[in-house]
This record gives sequence, structure tokens and C-alpha cells, in this order.
Amino acid sequence: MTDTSIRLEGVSKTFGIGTARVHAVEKVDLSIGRGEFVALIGPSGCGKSTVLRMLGDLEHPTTGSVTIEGVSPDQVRKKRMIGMVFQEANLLPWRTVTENIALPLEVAGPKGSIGARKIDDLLELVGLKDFRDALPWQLSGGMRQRVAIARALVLNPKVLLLDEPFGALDEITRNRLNLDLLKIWTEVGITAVLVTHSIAEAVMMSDRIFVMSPRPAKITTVIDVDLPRPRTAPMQRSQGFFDLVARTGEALYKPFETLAESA
Amino acid sequence: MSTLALSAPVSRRLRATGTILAILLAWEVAARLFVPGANPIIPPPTVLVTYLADHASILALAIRPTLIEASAGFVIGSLISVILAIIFVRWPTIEAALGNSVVLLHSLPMLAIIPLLVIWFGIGYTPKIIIAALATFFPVLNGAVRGLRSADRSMLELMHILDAHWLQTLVKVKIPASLPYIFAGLKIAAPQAVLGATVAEWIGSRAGLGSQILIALLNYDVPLLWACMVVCALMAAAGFCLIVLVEYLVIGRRAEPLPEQD
Repeated sequence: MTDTSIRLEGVSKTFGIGTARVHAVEKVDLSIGRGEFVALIGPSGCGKSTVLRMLGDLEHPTTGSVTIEGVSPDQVRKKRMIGMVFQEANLLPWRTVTENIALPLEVAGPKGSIGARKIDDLLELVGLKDFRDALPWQLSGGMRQRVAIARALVLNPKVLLLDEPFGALDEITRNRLNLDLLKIWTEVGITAVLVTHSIAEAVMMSDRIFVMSPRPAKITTVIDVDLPRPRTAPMQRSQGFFDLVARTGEALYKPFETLAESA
Repeated sequence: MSTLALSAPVSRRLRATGTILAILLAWEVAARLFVPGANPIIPPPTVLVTYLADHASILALAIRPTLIEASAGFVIGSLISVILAIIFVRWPTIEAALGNSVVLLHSLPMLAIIPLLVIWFGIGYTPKIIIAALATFFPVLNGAVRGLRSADRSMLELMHILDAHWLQTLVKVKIPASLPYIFAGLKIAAPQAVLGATVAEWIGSRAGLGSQILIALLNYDVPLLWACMVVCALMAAAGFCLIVLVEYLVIGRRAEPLPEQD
């Protein structure tokens, strides 16, 4: 559909914990097209977050190379082309919604904020126009994550990294936020990488799903999600959706089932 | 019933005031019953008030130097603590090198330092200001170091992703996050600064509450002793209240209200 935005080649990551060495990620190759929405799914603690954190220059690969828009994550970060949403909204509690969204603008300064989005537009986009002067403690968990999404988008990044952004929320709220996020993604036209451990979420959101094995994380299966866009709520009750959920589930649980058989 | 019920903060304030009044009343009755006499060594509160009134002019003169020493020491001590805390958090190797010396400094007995300071700096304001600053230093440093490290890890990671300069992270994330901890330290420090200055005045000074206490002690002037003690306590408490007020003005209005606890 488009040219490559993110490329990982032979990426491995080993952590040293005391004298022990933990292989978190092993020989991951993947490429993500510009404007594509992909999900990384895998069991808890498998290292999928590590992959995402390497894209955000929060971790460095032990071997292999990571490139975003042709350059290293470090350079991309310095150009402020990465937006990231964490599992906790991590808003500054003493700042209002508007002030929280403005944080990246303040850090980037007037020069770095050229081409930034208008805060009013973002408030509209995430549906928080009436809460612009609210403080984080006055908001629900879902609303806080909306603020975090707006903040991640304010500098108009090329890549949006989502580390289980709605993982701490209940399923109903999560579902609604996911649909909203898709709408935002469609409007913004951005490369998005979502780390999740919800199969339904991965199917609902992505163009492709990278299924990862338990640690060390390896990509075992890539599933093309051929559901039409825009994705709608009723689609989640379609046969096509169920089939994709089943296929993803099979790929995800296979390593455990073979383990159980051999035991 | 519900129409008569007071709102929680009002009823709490009433309860606090009631407790104080009850203590004063009990004190009054006990003192009058057990320590009678014209100038009792434990005067009832009503007599204390007359002590204060009798010595008003002496006390007014004594308050000024103590107030100057305590405030100057408090401000200087707080500033040094916060700056040192920022240095410690920015360069942990410096903390590793200096941390023990700071504890040592705090462990020095005040009464041993004061004569030395008097020998070095004379009997003016300087030794008292240094003692008040020393009394302020440790609680504020402790609070500030802890507070500057209290920012969420993911918040710091976000600042990294935004390629923020460490000063930006300090000003926008770490310092605001540290304020509740710094204020906790300041609240301990403010009364300590007053008491430190007063104690310092015991050794080598011609003015101040501490020196008045010493004069009263040497003259066996119990009413003056009591009057000085009450003023000293009120000053320390006022210092505490001032910090509470500043804390409210700086962070109170934006902070999440604490849950009602009964």
C-alpha cells in the first residue's frame, strides 16, 4: 500500500539481571508500511513491549538494526516524530487537560512546534472540548487516556506507539476508545504500532497482526486482517471477525499447547 | 437531623477548637487547685495572659532579632537544601560522595557548634542564622531528594521521547512533583528554625528571645520565663502555619482533595 515506515532487521535484546542473562527478544524481522496500523500480540512478559520501547528509543537492541523513516530511533526521537501512549495515562496531575496536551509544545519550543496541531482541534478530535480546564483527577480513566492520545499527537508525529493504552480499562470503555482511536488514526493518517494482549482488540484495530511467542519474543505468525475499513462496531459480530480471532488465537496459544502435550 | 448536621470541615474545626479549650480549662482548674500563690511556677492560663501583658515591651524588643535570625536561616537553609537536592538527583555520584557528610553534619550536637560559631563569627546575627539554617537543612534536603525522585518513570520516559533537556524535565516534571515532599520538610523545618535561633541566642548574644530566657532564668523571673516560652511557641507555630498557607496557595488548589477520613 505504501513504502516502509518502520523496519526491524535481526533485532535481539538481552537483559542482564544480576549474573543471569535474559533473552527478551530474538531475531525479530518486520517491516511496517507508512500509514499502516499493526498490532504486536503475545503472552504477558514476552518482550513485545520491549520491541515497542526500542522503537521509542527507550531500549536499544543488543544486535540487529531498527530504522524509522530510514533513520535510527534516536534521530527520529530528536526530530520529535514519535508519539507514545503508555498503559497509564501519566498526565501531570497539577496541569489541566489543555496544559497537559501543551507539554510537548513547551518542550519543543516555538521552533520545534512548527506544524504542530492546534490544541482546540485535538480536544475536538478526542471529544474533550468540555473538559479543557479539568484536572486529571477529575477525569475518568478513559478520558485520561484520551488526553494522553491528544498529547501524543500534538507535535504531528510520523509514528504512534501504543503500549497497551487501554489495558487498565474495562472492556466496554476499551471498546469505545478503540473505535474512537481508529477514527482518529484515519483522520490523522499515521503509522501506528499497538502492543496488546487482547486478540479481539488486535483484530479490530490492525491491518496486520504480528503474533509473538513466549520469551524470547519471536514473531511466529503474521496475520493479514482483511476486514474492510472503516471498522465498525457491528463488524465485531461478523463471521470474518470471528474467523480472524480464531486464527490469531490458534497462533497465539499453539506454543503453550505443544508444551502441554510434551509435558 | 441532616439539616442540623455541620459540614465535615466545620465540625472538624469545632472539634479541634473544643479540644484546645478543654485543655486550657483543665490547666486553669488544676493550676489554681494545686499550685496556688501570687507568682506560681505553673501559672494558670489566665495568669499567663497577664504575664504576657506585663512584659509586652520586653517581648516586643526580643521578638525582632529572633524573627530575623529564624527567617534568614530558614530561607538560606531551604535554598541550599533544594539546590543540593537537585545536584544530588542530577549527579548521584556526588550524592554518594557527600551523603554521609550531610548526615554527619546533621548529627553534630547544636550546643557544641554554637560556641564555636560564636568564636568564629562573634555574637551578632551570623551564628544564629547558621544554626537556624542547619536546623532547616536536613528535613528539607530529605524531602527534596525524595520528592525529586518521585516523578513517574513513564513520565520521565515521555520527556525522553520528547527529547527534553534535563532542565526542562527538572522544571516541568521533577520540581512540581517534589513540592508536596519539600513542603513536608519545610513544615518540620519552620518551627525548628525558630527553636534553633532561640537556643543559639543562649550563648553569646545581647538580644532575642533566647537571651531573654537566659536573663529570666538567672533572675529566677518565672513570669518572664513563661512569657518567653509562650511567645517562642507561638512563633514556631506561626512558622508552621505560614508554610501550610503557602503550600495551599502553591499546590493546594490544584491537588486532588484527600478522601474524607473518620
